[in-house]
Amino acid sequence: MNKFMLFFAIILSSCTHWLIDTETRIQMENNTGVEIHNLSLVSQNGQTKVLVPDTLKAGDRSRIYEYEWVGEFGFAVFSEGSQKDLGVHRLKGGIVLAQIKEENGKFVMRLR
Amino acid sequence: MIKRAECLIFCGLLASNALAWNPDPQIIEAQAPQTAFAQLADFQNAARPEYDAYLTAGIIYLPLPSQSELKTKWGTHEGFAFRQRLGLWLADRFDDKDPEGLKYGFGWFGERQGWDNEDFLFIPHRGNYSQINQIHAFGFTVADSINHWLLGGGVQYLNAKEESLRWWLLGTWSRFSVMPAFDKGDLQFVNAQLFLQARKLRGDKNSWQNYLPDLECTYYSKDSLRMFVSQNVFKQRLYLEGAYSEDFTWVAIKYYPEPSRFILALEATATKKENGDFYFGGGITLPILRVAYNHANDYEAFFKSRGLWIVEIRLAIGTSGDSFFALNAPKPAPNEISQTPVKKQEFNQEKEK
Repeated sequence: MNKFMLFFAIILSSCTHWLIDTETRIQMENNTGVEIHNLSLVSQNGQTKVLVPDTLKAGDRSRIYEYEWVGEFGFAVFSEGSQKDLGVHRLKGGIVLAQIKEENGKFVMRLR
Repeated sequence: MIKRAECLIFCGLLASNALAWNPDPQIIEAQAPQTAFAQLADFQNAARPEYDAYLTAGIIYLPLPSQSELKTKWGTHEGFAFRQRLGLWLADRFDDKDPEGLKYGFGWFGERQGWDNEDFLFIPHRGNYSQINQIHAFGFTVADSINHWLLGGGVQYLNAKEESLRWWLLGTWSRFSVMPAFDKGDLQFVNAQLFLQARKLRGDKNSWQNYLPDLECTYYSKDSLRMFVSQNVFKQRLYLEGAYSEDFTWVAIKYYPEPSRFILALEATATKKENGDFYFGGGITLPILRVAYNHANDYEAFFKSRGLWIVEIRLAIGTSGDSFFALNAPKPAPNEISQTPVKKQEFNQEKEK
């Protein structure tokens, strides 16, 4: 009952961001067999914006970076001088571990 | 019982989540001049020579960040589209029943609108992609109620990425009213109204003139005109309305159970978008709440939103003497206090002794 009332009080006070994360703390994990770097967002016109500027050897984890990116975006990572597209993923806010691995010769990302 | 209520609310939120739309930063920026027009048109309708005061407020708040995700070249960003407005016009001696001579008035209509990545009541977060427009109109009026004329003028401040300061004039005589607005020397629009419908609030008597139409024409440039017509079809309770401009057209049927339009308004609208698509919607307006879905006004005033339930906490009260009414209403709300006979208690002196 109290939780129920609290939920309504928060909705009525226009402050649902007290309940919902509006920031993402992102960390990259390299599960491929090669060195990767610069986990980035990719725009519709191919522009990139680096989220995780670290270079990771196979099996390494990056430092954690905090951004106001919550929503659905296109991702890519760089390896051996080329951009590897990772598809569109939803960042739900909060702590996110971006695990990148290789499947059938393609790089794929899983968010945890 | 609580579990069932919680479940219903959860399903409601899920449904509202599915009914979402994506504004983009260009649409939000382009909203500011349209709101600037609507705000001054409200001022024009509120400040009539025979009226004394007008108070309006409104907050559109969408509870979930997934309902109005902002679309940019990067993807869609969770956040909140919002609209907050407040307005007041007040003439001096507003409590006089039959003021003679000139009445001076002052008005301020303010609106804050846009998209922010957090929800708020007072202080926005202003994140990376937040776009917040400010539109404020100030003005003075002088009116003669007996001779039915009003003159006014003022400024309007717009801030949508870039700031601008407009100035405007207002002239109303009986059923005709004209309002031009300028940015420096450039004409932004002229709004001309010929409200022919007889209004008891203006001192008109009930007659066949109740069935004359209200007409409005807005001139933006020689290539851009907007026409509006409102026609009473039954006892100033049922109206057919329509607005036409080159890129946006709508028709509506509106029912007010009571001609002051103060207690309840039921509206159904059909809207034709820029690309020729038609869609249907409607809404219910109560004194402090409005609920609407796909309503033409929200498409026009709330970032071209559609497929979205809009809940607005709102208020709009005009006064004239001791009567009150909603904007553009033909008659005052029934005044229960003045119509209810008061039974006087006789003072019995002998009994007191």
